[in-house]
Amino acid sequence: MSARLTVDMEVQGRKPLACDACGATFLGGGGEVCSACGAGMLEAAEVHALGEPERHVPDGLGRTGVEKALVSSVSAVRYRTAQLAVPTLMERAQLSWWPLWMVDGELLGTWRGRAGTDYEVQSSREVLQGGVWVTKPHIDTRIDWVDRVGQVRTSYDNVIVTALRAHDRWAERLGGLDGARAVEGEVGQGVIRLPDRHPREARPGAEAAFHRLAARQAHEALGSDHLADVVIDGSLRQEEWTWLLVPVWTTWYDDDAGERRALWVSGVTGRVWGPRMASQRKGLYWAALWVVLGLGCLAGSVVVGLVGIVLWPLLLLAAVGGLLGLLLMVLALVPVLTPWRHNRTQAAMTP
Amino acid sequence: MADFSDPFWSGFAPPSGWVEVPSADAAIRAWGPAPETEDDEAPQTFHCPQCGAHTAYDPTKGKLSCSHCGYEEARSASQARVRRGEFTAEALAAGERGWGVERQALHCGSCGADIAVAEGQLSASCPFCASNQVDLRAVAGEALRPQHVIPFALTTEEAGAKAAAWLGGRWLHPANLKEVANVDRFRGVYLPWWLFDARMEVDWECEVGTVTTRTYTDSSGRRQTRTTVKWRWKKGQLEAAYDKCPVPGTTKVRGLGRVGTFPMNQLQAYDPALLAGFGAHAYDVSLPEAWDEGRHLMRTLTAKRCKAAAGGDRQRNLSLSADMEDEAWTYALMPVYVSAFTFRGRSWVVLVNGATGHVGGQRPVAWWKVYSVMAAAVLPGVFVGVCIGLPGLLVAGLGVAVLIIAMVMLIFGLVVAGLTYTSAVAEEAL
Repeated sequence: MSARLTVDMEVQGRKPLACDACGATFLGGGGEVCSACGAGMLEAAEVHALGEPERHVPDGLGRTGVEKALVSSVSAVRYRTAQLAVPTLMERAQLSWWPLWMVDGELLGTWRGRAGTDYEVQSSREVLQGGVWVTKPHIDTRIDWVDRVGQVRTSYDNVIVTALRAHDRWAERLGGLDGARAVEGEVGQGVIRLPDRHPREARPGAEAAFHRLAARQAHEALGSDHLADVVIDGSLRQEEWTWLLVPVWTTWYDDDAGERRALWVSGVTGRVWGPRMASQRKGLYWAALWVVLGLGCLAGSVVVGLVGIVLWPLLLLAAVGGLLGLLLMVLALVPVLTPWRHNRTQAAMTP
Repeated sequence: MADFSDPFWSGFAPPSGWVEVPSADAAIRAWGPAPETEDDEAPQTFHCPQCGAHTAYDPTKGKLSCSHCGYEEARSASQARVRRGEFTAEALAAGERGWGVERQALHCGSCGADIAVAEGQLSASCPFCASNQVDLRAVAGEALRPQHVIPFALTTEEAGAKAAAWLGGRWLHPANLKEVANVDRFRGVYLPWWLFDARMEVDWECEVGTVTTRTYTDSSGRRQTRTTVKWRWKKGQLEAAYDKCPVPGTTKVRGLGRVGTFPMNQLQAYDPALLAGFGAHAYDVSLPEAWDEGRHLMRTLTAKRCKAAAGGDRQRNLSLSADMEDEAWTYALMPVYVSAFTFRGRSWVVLVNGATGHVGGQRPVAWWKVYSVMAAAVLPGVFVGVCIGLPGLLVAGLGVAVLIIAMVMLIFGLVVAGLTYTSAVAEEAL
């Protein structure tokens, strides 16, 4: 794929798009909600991109799986916002594909490290009890370390490197963005998010990944029990950069204040992330209801109390009614505080 | 197999002395330090390159020297990396085997004679050509070889002078001992020692007592003192590290405990040249036996440290559990001068620490001097009691105080007599 995609170009039947809020770039049909920020809409735009999709991790959820994940996530929210309902969320749910770089290349260089061989020694625990020493022998495993240097010339295919600057943060939130179970072939429906890390920027990460693989290969080649402190001084050659796509579902709702809130569901793990806001208004409504009930009880207990001056056993009923009224008014704090406390933890969840 | 003809593979120079190690992958090449070879096992004969006479290690110069032409060859402390031994199954088996032969033949590399040497003897002087031989071949594969050595720092003459001074050093020996005892014929010999390192991670618990002394007046108006001990349980953890804890590796020479400690900072990597001109013996106390003793020594010291850490005035019911870590052993040869002399028809042994000059061993005691001192210590108490105290009590009824004084004098005299006697016995024992 060329680096520049104009609005009239198409890739895999998709047009170049950009988010009107965050500027993230995509390939899709247009009019979708941005799956990067969840706040903007995707509009046709000229974008820059390098590489093309080679593999993808199949969506393991489908709409049914997404619905299940949302039900278990949303149902835990008490006094939730009216729009935070599964049918609404499912109506707005859309699939997007997030990219990772897949790098093919050859690594040439030198390496150094320490090879360790396990060996067993006799050791013991010495116990003094009641003036008598007892030796409890046991076997300890220790490592004999020897310095090693060498050369490496090896090729690796499909080494995965992050293609989004926020990838690690999202991987922590949603899990399963590591490209395991990838398959070849084109993705079906859904927008494709374009990498925002140029290969130039991702190259150190690619080199580190190649070095890790080479260290593992050296370990296996030497046949030692351990290989530690491996440092590889090498360069990559004949690189090829393509994309691996992983599925992420996005949906959204408006909270009490009319602010758009997005939820993300990993198509690999089914994990849900995003702010699930409670309705402060709904909480206040319930609190008012409890207060009214409490006042009613108090009023009733006053009336019964007045009658109790004449018919004294009613005084007990009046006292109970009074206490119940006070209790209801105190409990009215619960629907006020619950959404407030919940929203404090959710408000910080911004992409 | 990789195609190493590619210029890439030839563009790397491993560090000097490193050799290529096997790799199961054609994409990886590896080098490592060349394995250490023990080339000091071959028998070595020390000849003067100038005149062909034999050379021997000279402690005063720290060099190999030729007594014939004066040639000297410097021996710098070996920089060879000496690895501490660990308690692997192989080391324990080798350390237990020890020497498998009662006598061994040492082939003289100089004149070709076969010399019969005693079990465990590492070096000898050829009786036919006087060349000094050091041979470790008999040990190879059978037992452990020495890793360290502390070279002799004293000459035979210096050792003899120190021994002579030591023999005439105390009053309870015969006055003519120094002149009569012939300790000129000292023989320098390297004796085996096991040195043990270990760390102990200890969890301890014990009762700690705090002593309180209270003075009070009893019902009869007398001042009394009462001492009470308040006990409480205390627990703690400590780490005890031991470095080069020495255990003698031979039972052939008695009294090694009397030659004092060896300066461990003078330990050198084993060099056969240091043995030239001296005797040397391999161990006959096996590594497991010595480690049992070394471990016991460490345990005892650790228990003392735990008590010290517990604090208080007294401690009792100490229990502890110690995990041994990083245990290691070193087999070292230590320099000792050994001599014997005959006195009153009996043989007496004198040992001199070849590194420090500390003298130990047996010294004959002039028993008449010892008995005289014992009598002089006891008699005053008896005299005061019998001659002054008892008559005074019988005649004037005034002897009680004198008898008490006599009793104190007698007890004091008995203590002095006992100490003198045990000291004299220890001087003769080994």
